[in-house]
Amino acid sequence: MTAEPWALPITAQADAIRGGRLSPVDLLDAYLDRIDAYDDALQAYVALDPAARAQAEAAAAEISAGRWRGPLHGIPIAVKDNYATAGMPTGAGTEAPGFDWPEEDATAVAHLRAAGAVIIGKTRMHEYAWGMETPPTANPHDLSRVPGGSSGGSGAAVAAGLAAAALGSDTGGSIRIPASLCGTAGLKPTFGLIGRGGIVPHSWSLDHAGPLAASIADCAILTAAMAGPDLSDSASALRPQPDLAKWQDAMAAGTKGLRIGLCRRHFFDGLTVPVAEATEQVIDHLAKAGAKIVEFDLPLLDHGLGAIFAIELSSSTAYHDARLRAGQVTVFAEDVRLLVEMGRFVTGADYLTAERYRRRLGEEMAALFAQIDVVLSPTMPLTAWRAGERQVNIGGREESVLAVSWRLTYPWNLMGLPAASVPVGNDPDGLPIGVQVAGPAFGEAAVLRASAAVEAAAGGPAQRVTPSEP
Amino acid sequence: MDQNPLEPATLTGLPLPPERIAELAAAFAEIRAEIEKLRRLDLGETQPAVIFAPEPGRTEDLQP
Repeated sequence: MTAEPWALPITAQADAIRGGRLSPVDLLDAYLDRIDAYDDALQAYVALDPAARAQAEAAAAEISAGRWRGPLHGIPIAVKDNYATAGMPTGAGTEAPGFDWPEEDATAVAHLRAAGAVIIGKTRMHEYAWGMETPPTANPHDLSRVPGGSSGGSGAAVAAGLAAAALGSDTGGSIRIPASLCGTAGLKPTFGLIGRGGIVPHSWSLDHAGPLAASIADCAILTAAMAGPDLSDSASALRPQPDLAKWQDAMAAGTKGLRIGLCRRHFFDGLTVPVAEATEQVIDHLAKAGAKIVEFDLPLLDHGLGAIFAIELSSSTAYHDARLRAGQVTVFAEDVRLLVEMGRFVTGADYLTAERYRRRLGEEMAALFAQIDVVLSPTMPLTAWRAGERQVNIGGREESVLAVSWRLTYPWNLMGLPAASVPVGNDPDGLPIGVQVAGPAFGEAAVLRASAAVEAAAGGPAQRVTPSEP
Repeated sequence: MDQNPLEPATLTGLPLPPERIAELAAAFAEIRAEIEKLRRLDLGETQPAVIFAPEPGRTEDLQP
């Protein structure tokens, strides 16, 4: 191998491990060395698993004995701190009292362990998953900038090569936003595909579990491993585990004949110039490679922001109600406290109007998927902003970074549809740009195929980076 | 009960002083505008996405 093991995607690490050219213990050590060197600057982790070495040694022994479990066997994976884990506490990004979560594996983590993955540690997240910045985690491309959120520690860890891949959760974009800002792939699968048992809730009908990884193929491996029925999640789709081989076939199917939908309304509004240009270059490339580009309109998108606010605010406030009444939210970070308290202003009628809206939106989108395979857009209108920056100027218009940041991602949470972010290059400041690919319900194969085509159009998976100021 | 039903804390159910509730209301103004836009949308007879199921199991159990 020419590249360092930590820099490789899981697909290549797994080949090397299976072929006896790479030991899971050495791979773990490579990541622990990177964490030792760079995590003081990045602050991506909140805890390391003291049992990781024993897990890696057990994986090495099993593989040596001829019992290779599959592509995650012996691969170090980081877990967002809202997934429960055996042997490590779960903090959900909060230091407020009144939070106690059992030390037993969330369903998705248990699936990963069964697949042989080594759990390396827990990554930092925005408090209770209610934000897009994840302080104090830094973006590995520029330490003065945010990694995004709420799965910001996962994005920073994967981009900087401090884990092979990491788990995230996504309520309005919290996997895709850090993936886009940090330059990793990320996949929010269809609502219900991955069980959320053991994941600290934020908004029950919007929360999705999923991976951030070095390539879209790695996202497929992790998603297939974590998916499946979960009786501890009332929203589990109770579908059998997906067939990874079929997804891999889809990713190898190429671009020719792929029907790519573009909705200029909403998904292309208010973009920075570098994001707009990078996205158009990808579209041109895909069209030249044989994709059919289909423009469509969906006016209902104009009403989506009120709907996701109504659902997310009221759900979060309902979840934290006891803490709210006990006065415990006063020790939340001010931005999170504000949102939790504000949820009281949303009425029950507003909540149900939003639920009626999302059904209508989903029906109209489902009809559009008869003519297209996927919908493509930028993942975010902008690249990583500086920590502490509150306003951005896009096209001469001042906007709140927080309002801008989730604009292109939240519609897919309202509809529960699968959506990925794929890195497609950097802006003139060297900051990553992501393109989003979304598909129909349980249409992960189409999303993965188109994402692989986007990744190829961008010249292959993004390289991991070494932070410049360790 | 001598609680004033029009008190902000009573109306909102927030056990907070009026100044804090006023602060929240001001911060909520932009979101309220978006929600009001949603209220004006004619959704006809569209039913909500969340529907109560009388059985502890789920209707999804029946899907292939």
